[in-house]
Amino acid sequence: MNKNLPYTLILIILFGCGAKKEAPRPVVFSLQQIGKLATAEYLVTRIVKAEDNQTWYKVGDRKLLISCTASVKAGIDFSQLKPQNVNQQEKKVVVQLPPPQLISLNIPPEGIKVTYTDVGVFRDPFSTTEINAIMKTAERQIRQQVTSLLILETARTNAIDFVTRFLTTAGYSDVYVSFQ
Amino acid sequence: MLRRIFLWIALIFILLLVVQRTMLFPSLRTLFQPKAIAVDETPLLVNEIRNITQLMTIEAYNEVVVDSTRFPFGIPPRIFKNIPGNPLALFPTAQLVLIVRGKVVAGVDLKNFDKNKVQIQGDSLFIQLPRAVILDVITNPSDVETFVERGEWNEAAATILKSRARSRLVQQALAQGALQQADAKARQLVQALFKNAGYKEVIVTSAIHLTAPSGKQ
Repeated sequence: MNKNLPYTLILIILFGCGAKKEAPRPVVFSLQQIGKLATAEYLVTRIVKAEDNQTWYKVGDRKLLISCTASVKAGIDFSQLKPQNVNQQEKKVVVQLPPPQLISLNIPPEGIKVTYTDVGVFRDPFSTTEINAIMKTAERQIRQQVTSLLILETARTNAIDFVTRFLTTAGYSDVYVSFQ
Repeated sequence: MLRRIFLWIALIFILLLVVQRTMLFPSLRTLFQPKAIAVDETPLLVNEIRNITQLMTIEAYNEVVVDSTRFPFGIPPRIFKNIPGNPLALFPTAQLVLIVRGKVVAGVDLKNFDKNKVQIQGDSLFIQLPRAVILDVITNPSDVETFVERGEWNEAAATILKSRARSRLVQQALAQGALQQADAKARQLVQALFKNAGYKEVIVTSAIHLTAPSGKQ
């Protein structure tokens, strides 16, 4: 019997259980029809603080500060407006709009600026790949943070204002706008 | 004897499997895996609040590849490719290749909608909407993948590359007729709104897309 069999088994167990790599997403060009009315835009900034000092075998720290500017838009999905949500009598119209929602988060590349770096003597500078990975984490955090802003309230108020003006222009004297 | 050896092997195998699954000891792979860079939770500051009225009607999704190459001393090595022992080949060429997935949003900006563009005749309504424009180009960090990064590149160089990718995304969306489709969808939405609001005939048009003269005679 082969004496090396237990060792071979040990090696298989130690090195064979790697995490599976994520399959690349398919490339698809698509032109999709939507119907969203954006009524509020918040321009936000955030200082992204990153530190790399957790790897035990790497000597020295790396620190990075990035100033990040983003735009968040909110509004209503106009395509969800059904005929039964609009009631009209003579010059009076009652509209029930869909609830306001977050429409987009946009972090343009020009809005990402590295403002400070501190790299130890024995460490490599931050690469583009690493900065992008840091920004991916920051983007995830920003997505969670924007929900606590009052942007939906602003979007709601502005939507009522716009729809009322738009319908008044089209000849209605009494316009009542509410939300579903 | 042989049976006993097999039993021992099976026992060791099961024991190792238990150790591996219960994470009692880290494997060599995890031991030398670099830890992720820690990103602190910092507050989000609102700089400006804008009241907008943008009717977004088309989203164009696409993916582009952009790259930049920096040759040693600014000289492409292929210039000396016929010279034996090309000295430039000794110096590494820096290369950055990015895959950028993005979204181009087109629609009608109703902020400056002119009420003179609305005409009412009995139960008929005529409206002329402003022409569709590109409202947003969204390429967030999660949409960018670094495919090759050889040599040292700063963030400014990456920003230039990403900006190039964004303009290419816009060009492709325009080539696919995003603006024309955005106009058509905006007309359809506004027409549906006023039909629901009681008008029997609703005619919605879009302002004409003016193209600059080519200058050729």
